[in-house]
Amino acid sequence: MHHPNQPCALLFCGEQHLDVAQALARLCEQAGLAVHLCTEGLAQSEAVFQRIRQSGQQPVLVVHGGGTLLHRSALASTAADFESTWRSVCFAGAVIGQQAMKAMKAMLPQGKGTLIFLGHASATERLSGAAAFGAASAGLRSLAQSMARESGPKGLHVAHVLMHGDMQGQQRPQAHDVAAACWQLHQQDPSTWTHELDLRPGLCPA
Amino acid sequence: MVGVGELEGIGGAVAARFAQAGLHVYIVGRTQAKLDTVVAHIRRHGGQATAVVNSLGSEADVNAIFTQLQRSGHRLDAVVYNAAYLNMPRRWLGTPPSFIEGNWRLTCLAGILVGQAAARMMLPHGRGTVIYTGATASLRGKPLFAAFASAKAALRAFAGSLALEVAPMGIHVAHVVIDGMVEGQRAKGALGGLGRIVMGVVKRRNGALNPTQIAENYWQIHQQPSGAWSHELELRPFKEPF
Repeated sequence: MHHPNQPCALLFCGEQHLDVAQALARLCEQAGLAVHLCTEGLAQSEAVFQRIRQSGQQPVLVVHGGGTLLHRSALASTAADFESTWRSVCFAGAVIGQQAMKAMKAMLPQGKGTLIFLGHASATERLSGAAAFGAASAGLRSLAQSMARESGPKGLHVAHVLMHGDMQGQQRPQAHDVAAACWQLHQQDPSTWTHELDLRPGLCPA
Repeated sequence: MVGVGELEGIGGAVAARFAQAGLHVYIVGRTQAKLDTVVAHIRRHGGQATAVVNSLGSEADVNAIFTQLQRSGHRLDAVVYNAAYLNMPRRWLGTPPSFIEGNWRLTCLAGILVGQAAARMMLPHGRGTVIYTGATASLRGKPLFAAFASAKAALRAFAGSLALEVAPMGIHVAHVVIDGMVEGQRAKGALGGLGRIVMGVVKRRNGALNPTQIAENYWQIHQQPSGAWSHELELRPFKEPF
């Protein structure tokens, strides 16, 4: 794809996914993309998109992975727990998703644009101790689906990565392998897109 | 019965069904006049009901409902959460963050708080049912309803977490997916008069869910013996594609 502007990747990742973001940043740089790694989420995102627009760069890959896994039961979680988790996992994904879509809109469908949301298995599985995180993760997953269905036909590849682990002593998938999987999603030809990718460490029973 | 508007809606029908079975029903909604209509209907048929005006706008609002229930001296047998934010189609890029948040607060957070309060009140008795009204949107995110679908998905996930946690304590939490259009005022009133036309077309093609029948299913969930509980039930008209 020929871009008049320099292609770049924006990775909005908090503590929970920082290792994945750093590994993905390396892959992007190797492929010639400028990379912006942002850890402040919504506090930073609008300014970052504006700065990039003004500097003549074109986002082609945006990744969002927000929130921290909160281990607390359904009855013990407070309204503040539900709200703060929803804000960082789901609401931030929603707003950054909108900002990303606006930034990539003009170059589609000639250019290739990918928007990836890093999510968690608690979105689809009932795991004890993940009430707030599960609700927020399910909300994020649903948003990713709506965005994918609405913008896919216009050429924007929206994908949700569902990661298992971090609960009940389960291992997370390896960060550099998750990054490689995200890169593969970005590489997918429009005739064969994946909208949800399930990832767990290989040696763990499915 | 949290989230009651029209007598003809799901909320009104469920309230009437539970009252018919002899329970005193507390009907929670935003509009006194509409609640009064439902209460009057229930009383005309020999049942007992109390109207509770509450916008579910805050944790304090939700707590006020349960404080009132506590003071009434009734044992809380069932709570149904049926409230949701206005569901209107919007392009995703035309959906303001305030709409996303407003949707989440009423459709999801208020439902979480009601479920928690209900479960806590039922725990000492080791019995009780909490039912959440879900929608097709609870299961997947489609275009034009992203904010609503997200909030519904989050609520469904919470219902599942709560169900898992309180089942061993004897409390039955269920999520009912209303998969299709419902006969009733809200759909007809939506989109100006267009809703009425849409309803007419839908009824001819697939049929719509009958609220009285929805209510009958809610009652059946409440009646399920603990040896075999459903935590999620999908309801759809016989011709509805799925």
